[in-house]
Amino acid sequence: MNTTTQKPLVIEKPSQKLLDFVRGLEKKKEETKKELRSKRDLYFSEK
Amino acid sequence: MHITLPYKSIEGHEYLIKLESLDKTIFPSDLDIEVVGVILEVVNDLKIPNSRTTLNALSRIIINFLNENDNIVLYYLCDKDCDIISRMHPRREGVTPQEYRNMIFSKMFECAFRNSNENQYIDKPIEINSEDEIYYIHLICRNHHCKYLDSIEETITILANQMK
Repeated sequence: MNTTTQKPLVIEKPSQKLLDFVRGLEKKKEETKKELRSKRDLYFSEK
Repeated sequence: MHITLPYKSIEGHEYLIKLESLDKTIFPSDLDIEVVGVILEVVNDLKIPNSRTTLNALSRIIINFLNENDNIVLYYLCDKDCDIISRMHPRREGVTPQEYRNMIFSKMFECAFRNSNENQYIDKPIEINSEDEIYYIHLICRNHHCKYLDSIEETITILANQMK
């Protein structure tokens, strides 16, 4: 196998700072997904 | 870096794959590598499960991007949308959508490169257990960028232990 899945880094009871960071990533991802859905017709033409 | 790649599966799923650089201000200034987010979104309304062929194709697109861009580490945040259509419902009892995506993401990369002659890659899963929910993140890079993974891991660990 040429892809190595390492042992997970598990963080219990993270600081508020880390949670804010991850929730920021999550929010950005939601916005990007919405943007992608709105751009569907630029990349795929109807049959 | 902002790149959008289209992919249409044999089942008819229309995917847009967005690759976007992360603001690196939380990382040490000497982290001389781009940290690039991977976002996969189905942009049509096809309600059938993905095949293994499709999952392999998606992982191949992501790894090709990694191969074509030398100084990057990819990250994927497993989201909690409930719109997963799976062939394996019995196995999903008690499994949250983000946990399921976490398992699928690891499997995608393991399967795609088994028995291939590709360069070595690393998949580093991260689990962040808050009181409300569990966040799953994957860091993917080439073996020779392992030191950057260590640096990112160290930054996240420091951040996890910081008081407000």
